[in-house]
Amino acid sequence: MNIAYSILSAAASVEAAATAEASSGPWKNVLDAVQSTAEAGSDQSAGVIDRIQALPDAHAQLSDPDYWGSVGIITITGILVVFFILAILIFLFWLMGTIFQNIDKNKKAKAEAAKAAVAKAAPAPAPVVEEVVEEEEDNDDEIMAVISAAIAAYAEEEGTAYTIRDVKRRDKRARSAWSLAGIGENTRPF
Amino acid sequence: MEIFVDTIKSLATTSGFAGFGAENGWQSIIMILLSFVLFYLAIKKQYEPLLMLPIAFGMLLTNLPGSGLYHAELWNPSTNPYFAPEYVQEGANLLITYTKEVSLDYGRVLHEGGLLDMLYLGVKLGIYPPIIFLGIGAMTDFGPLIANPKSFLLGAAAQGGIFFTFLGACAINALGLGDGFSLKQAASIAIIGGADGPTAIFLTSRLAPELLGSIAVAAYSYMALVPVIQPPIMKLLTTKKEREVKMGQLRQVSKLEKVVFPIAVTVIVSLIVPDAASLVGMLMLGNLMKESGVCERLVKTATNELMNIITIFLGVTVGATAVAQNFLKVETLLIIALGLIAFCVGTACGVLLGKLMYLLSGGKINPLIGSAGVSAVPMAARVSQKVGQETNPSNFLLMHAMGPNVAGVIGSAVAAGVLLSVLG
Repeated sequence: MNIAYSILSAAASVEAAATAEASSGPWKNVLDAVQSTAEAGSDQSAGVIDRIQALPDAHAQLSDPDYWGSVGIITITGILVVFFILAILIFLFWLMGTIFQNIDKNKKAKAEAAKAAVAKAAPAPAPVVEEVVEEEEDNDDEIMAVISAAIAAYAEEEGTAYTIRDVKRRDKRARSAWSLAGIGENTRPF
Repeated sequence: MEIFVDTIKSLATTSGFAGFGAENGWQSIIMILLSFVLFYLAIKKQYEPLLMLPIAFGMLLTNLPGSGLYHAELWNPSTNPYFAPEYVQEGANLLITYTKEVSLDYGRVLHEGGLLDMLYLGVKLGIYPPIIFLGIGAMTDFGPLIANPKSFLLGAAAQGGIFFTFLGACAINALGLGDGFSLKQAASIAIIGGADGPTAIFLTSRLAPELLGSIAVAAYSYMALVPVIQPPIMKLLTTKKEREVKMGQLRQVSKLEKVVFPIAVTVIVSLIVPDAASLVGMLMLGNLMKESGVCERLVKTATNELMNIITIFLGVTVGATAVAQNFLKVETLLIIALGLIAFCVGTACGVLLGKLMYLLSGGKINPLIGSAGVSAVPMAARVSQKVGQETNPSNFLLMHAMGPNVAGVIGSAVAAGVLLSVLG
């Protein structure tokens, strides 16, 4: 008990001595300065630039001792910030690019499979066009076949050969060309 | 008879010709002749006529004495200050303190201003340049940049011309020529290196409005001269082998990427440099409207009618700020010299980083596209294409050069934001 008490009181007195010394005497000024700088934070350098700018004219500014320091800081900060922001944008768009390329690769794999089915259906004659009555939206193969047959019929008429490279489904929510034309007709100002 | 003589006398004394006879009236004559020179450059030589012609005409109108279209004293905070009242209740007394802010009395502008004063409000309040950026964004295709994000680096490097010129303008103070340039004026001159008219006008109207006329004239003249200024520097800094590099096909950019791009850029840039938000935000709004495909009529207006209206107002009012006492100084010649340095250094920085990327990529990137980081769209990209084709006729660099070109637009807006936040 006694030893513990004496150790604790010794520690307490050391602490008291430390804080007492800190709150008065030569260290007080240092601590105050550190604290005010910490509060002002980065305003120190901004304060310098504001001070220089408050001077009335260019020659007065030039003779200020911190002039060249501020000019240098502004230059370097400017270049660094511009590069930093553009570096963030580079990273972001590189990332976006790789993500989308992966998505596209998966889509292409599916399209390849669909194309293989179309290549088989291509030699079918023109009557295929009249065949399908109830069109199922999900039946891509039949639609592909219809499209390629129609193109083949057109190509026969023209005399040149067409190769289907890519078939993309248009956005379902978009209106067809016919309805767009209808809207245009009805809303055309007179 | 006397009445007749008196009438003629009063007409004579209020006429513009009497204004020439007044103190420093001869300077107006010089400015009018200078505007004629700019007319020649705009009409005959076709130096950026869409802006040069209104600027020249604004310069003419403002320097005709007595026309009253533009009053320079209304736009100077020391001759037209605004006193903001502060109310403090002290017991039974209300204490009103008037603080002289470094701001303008817009009420007086509205009461006493002429036509060009009213239109100049759009410049002073920072309205016109962002709206021009709206139109530019609606005309720009950021596809080549998204396909090759490394182009952003070249766009950033070319802005080195801005900061080098800032140093140069401050260094000129040490030479003791004329009045010298304050930090704000130096920054406004430096932004000429961004090769972006609206950005330069935006920054200058905030930081150094007294230099607006000279900076605008310098900026647009040098933008017109890009095909003359850039090729020698590009050829000097690159070897023939480097110029011959053929770059691979750019990948296809999906619509989703093109829609996400403007939104992401706006958020990131505005959060880091809020002062660039109005320019970059409007640029990206225009682009988003175009890429989304759902605002066709807005895009049509933004790229045609709106751009044209704002260009007319911007040109004529910027020209109107070129009054004799602001323009006919040694500083104007220094600004013209510094503007040239800005363009040259910007081109050089872009090409040098292009060379570095050539080395680091193992010869896959042609350094010539680096000069396109100077954001004179699409002129700088066309120059890259032309110089590349001179060396290797089958080389098609245009789309590759568009990446740095449009990145430079964003880069110069960011640089302007940084300068505005530090010095504004």
